[in-house]
Amino acid sequence: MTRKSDKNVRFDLPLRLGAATLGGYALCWSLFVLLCAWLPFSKATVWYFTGQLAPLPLLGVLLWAFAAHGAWRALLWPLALAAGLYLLVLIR
Amino acid sequence: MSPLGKALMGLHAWGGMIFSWLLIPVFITGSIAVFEPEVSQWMQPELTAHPTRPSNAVALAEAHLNEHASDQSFWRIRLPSEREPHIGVAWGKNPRQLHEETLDAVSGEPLHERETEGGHFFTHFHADLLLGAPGRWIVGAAGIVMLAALVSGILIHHRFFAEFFTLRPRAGKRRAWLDVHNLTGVASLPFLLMITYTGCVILAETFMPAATRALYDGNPRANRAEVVKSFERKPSGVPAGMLPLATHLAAAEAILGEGKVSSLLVRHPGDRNGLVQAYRHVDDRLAAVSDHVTFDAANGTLFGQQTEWNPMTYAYRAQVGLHTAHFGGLSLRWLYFLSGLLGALMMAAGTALLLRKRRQRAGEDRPQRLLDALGAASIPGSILASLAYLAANRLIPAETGGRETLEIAAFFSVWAITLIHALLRRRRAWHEQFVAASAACVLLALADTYSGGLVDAARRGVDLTLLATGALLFASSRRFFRTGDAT
Repeated sequence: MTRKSDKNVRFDLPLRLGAATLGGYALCWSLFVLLCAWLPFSKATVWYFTGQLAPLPLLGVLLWAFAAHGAWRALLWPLALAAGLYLLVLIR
Repeated sequence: MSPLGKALMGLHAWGGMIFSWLLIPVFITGSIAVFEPEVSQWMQPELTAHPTRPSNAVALAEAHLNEHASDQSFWRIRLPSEREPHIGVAWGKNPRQLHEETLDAVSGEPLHERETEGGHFFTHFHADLLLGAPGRWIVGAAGIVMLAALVSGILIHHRFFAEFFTLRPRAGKRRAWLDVHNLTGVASLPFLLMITYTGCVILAETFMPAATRALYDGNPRANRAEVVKSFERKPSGVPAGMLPLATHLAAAEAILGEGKVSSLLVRHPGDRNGLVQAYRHVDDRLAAVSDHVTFDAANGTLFGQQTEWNPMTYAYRAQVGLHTAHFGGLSLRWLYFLSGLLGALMMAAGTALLLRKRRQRAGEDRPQRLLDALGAASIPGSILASLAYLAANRLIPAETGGRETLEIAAFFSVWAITLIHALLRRRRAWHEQFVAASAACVLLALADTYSGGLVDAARRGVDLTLLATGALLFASSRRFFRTGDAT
């Protein structure tokens, strides 16, 4: 969990900033789309449910982006996860 | 420090400081916004405060509206409350753009108060920096970083319960800043987590419209339309007399509770299809939802009512209520006010700590001077800007046209001046701005007290708060920012 080993990676900070912003936003967006598609409740119930969760994925990915071992890892994991969740929506 | 805490140190320190330039002003204005009506009362000395009965107030408002707005499609009446002890009337063709006036609660005479955004300016700046949707994106991003800084702070200071009992103001400067940072951070931690999380929930409606896109084709009002029942009908064109509004008020109180009606909305007054809708106060429940009942204006039959809510909507609105603190009364407002300022102090101490650490390593290089100046502008600078807004309220003559814009201009110009001053005066700026802010607090309080502020409870409260703030700012300027060795 220490970043010492990858301090030499070029673009370490930009990659992590990208992970925090793009990764967090993409993951939150696809998670919400998935919940909207899958949750068996009325539209309003789902809307007001997701609204209360909104800070969590963004916060989680922001912390991950700076704690992850390796900047590329920090960026690719949330993007891959977001893509995976979005695929689940499409499959349905 | 845990390994995870070590990894997150950079995010905590640098992310925290960069966003603190915005978060500190947001926390200061948010704390003031808790007392929005009281600040508005302070900024409009023309407003009167007389206790009255709701039925009297409604009769006075109705007479005024009959005289000035009998041909309008919408009337709105805000009943006097403890915090806003005057009558608000509004009328127009479009319910979103009503012409508003304030009436004395006993005589019903228009008060012709000065044009000002009043305390609402602080709420508005706090929520979106006066920038609308882009501002909500910016504040929302700052809120997420704040949450991350709080969580990483817990991991970094994991011995914080021991540190909570540690304050060594006479120890070395660095140690003293760290103690202030830890003590205020731990003392207000539950509040800060709650207020930041709920703030992000409110702003997420703007910056995370995924569910709105997926469920409602991106129409941002559709979710509300689905849970807030609407009882409306088209005007018939046939004129008809209305029952007195006081009669409708009594019927509404029978359903919503005595003394619980906050406002009335009349649709199509004087028409056979006219409707009178009464809204309930939100100040005695956690969730910010307003029960409402609607009556036929002509014969008083019940047209519709909503006193039950979708449970998930209620939970969401409870988060909104937790943030806006309309529930819980005076003592809770003070708790929010003080906790918010403690949060600002925690961020300020963290910023001072990082600036000091960086200076020891890098010396007074050019980036250091810029970082120092931005810190000064965000901490004493935003306090001075808020005080300039209040001072402008007293200095700009009451009848000046467009004066509300001038007051806001005073806020932003003084804020810009504090940044320039900080760039020119370097580290001495901190001390000078703290002293200036404390002098401004005392001058404003005295000026208001000697120009009639004593007669009004809300104004007295604002004046005393200004005095106390002035004393605290002066004391901290002496302890922490003495000329020459600031931060």
